Amino acid sequence: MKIALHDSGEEHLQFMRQLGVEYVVSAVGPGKSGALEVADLVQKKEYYAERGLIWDVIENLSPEIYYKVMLGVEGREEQMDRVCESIRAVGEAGIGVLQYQWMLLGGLRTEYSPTGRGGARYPRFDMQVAEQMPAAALDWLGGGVYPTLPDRPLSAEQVWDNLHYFLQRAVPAAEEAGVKLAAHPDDAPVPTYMGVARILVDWEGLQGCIHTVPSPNSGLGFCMGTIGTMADMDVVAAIRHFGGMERIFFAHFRNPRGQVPYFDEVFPDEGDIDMVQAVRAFAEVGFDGVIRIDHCPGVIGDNPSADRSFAFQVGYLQGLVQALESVGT
Amino acid sequence: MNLALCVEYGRDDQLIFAQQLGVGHVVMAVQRWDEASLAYAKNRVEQATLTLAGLEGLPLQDAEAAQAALRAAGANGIDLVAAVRQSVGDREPVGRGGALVGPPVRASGDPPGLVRILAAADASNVRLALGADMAGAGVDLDLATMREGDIAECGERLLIVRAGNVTAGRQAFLNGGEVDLPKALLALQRVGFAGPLCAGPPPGLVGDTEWGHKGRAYDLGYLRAILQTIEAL
Repeated sequence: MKIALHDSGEEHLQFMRQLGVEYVVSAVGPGKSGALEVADLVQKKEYYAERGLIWDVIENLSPEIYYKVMLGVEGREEQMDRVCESIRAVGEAGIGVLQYQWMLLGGLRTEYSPTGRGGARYPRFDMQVAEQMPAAALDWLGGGVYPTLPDRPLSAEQVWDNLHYFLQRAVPAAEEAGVKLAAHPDDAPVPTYMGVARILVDWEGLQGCIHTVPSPNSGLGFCMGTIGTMADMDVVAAIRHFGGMERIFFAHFRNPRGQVPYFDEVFPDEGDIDMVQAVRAFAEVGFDGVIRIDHCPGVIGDNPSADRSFAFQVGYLQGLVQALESVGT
Repeated sequence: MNLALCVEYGRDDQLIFAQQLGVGHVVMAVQRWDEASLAYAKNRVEQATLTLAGLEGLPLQDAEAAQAALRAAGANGIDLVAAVRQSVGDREPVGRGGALVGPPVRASGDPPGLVRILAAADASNVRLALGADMAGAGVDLDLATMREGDIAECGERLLIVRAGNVTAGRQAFLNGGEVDLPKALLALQRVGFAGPLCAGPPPGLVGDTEWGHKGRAYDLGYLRAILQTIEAL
């Protein structure tokens, strides 16, 4: 298990090394060609290497490159060309995993609530609020709505068809390039919102994504927080199942409390997932990929990159890994 | 054992920080040991719905002051006091990733008037936590500098445990030193240690505060995970 954090700037990279984090997760935007470009990727990889960090996961493929494919509208063939070019560039740059997502409305939350432990701020999703006030869900941090919102209702069948179209071309390109495609599930995992279906919201959805175009190069970005908030989901069982199939290519470390239609993102030691058993399951299925510490509660006096909160979570995950190795058997 | 955070006197923000990170107990460093100051300290901790596990910073080298301090603690119902802990060298950016580290912090040396201090503690119903080699007192044990077998030998004398680590004679991050902390915490559980388990002070991280918020958060997360793992065994 390779623990990672997101790149939040130069000082943050040193902070990561000090915490003993050796992997960084980042992304680049498309170049002039409209696709990811090898030179940009290599330059960034070298930048991290000079700072003692390894970059092996792109999170995420920019939706700007493939949103027409997601929506199934005119122009998707040209965008698929850019997707395949991007995959080839990722492989050429020696980056192992490309995560993408199929969330047509982006991530959904409704509140950043100071009702957590000691008044910590918890990101919250409440479907009742989301239904009454779409703006609250689409712009919960005030940064604006998702840039590529669909302009019409889309059924689950249509969204699956679009994903199938994507994977039919993307997977062979990934196999050829030696790149693993990791699908991030729909967060929040509600089956439909504002007339648009969300398909990666349950066990069957995750399974379907893998089986749509079966390949050792098509799997999951296993977001523990998102999967943990799927209705009736057992995250440890999911790690064993999908990890046992060697289809977890990348993971997010997060522990929520509650499941749709209502949940909070809480500290990793107080959520509903048994994190000891989860980390044990990752080890037992031989997961050797990157696991990134995911978004976390707001802590008093923290800086914009939430270093205090992330430090707690990094220490927590390292503690679990070390304790299981040292005294866990 | 209770995961505890070492906080400074008068810093309510540190108490909130403790709450948020899931710590129910604090050990407070104090410099003014009069009864009113200690009453204030205890009140602030309780108002934050935390438990004041003990005080630290007892001026052990001044026997008269130490005795008065112990009486003030006892009068406030504070039953655990530890001495000043001293750093014996400057910190340098030679830790992991250039973190600031120094020699491990050490407990105060053998004080003059220890017999009188111990008697004052006893009379005030205060448990005094000192180095393991000070006969008659309870033990303030630093896992970074303990000798093999210390945990078992100290047994019921253990009053406070400091989680630290060391590599090549210098402070290290908890997960990156020569001490296997999961094994040490398991040993503490097995001897029935029920006191505060404190971390710190942590290595100096880039952009951190003087008190070390980021470093302490890291330590608390690390220790919480080990305790949860041990409980799950």
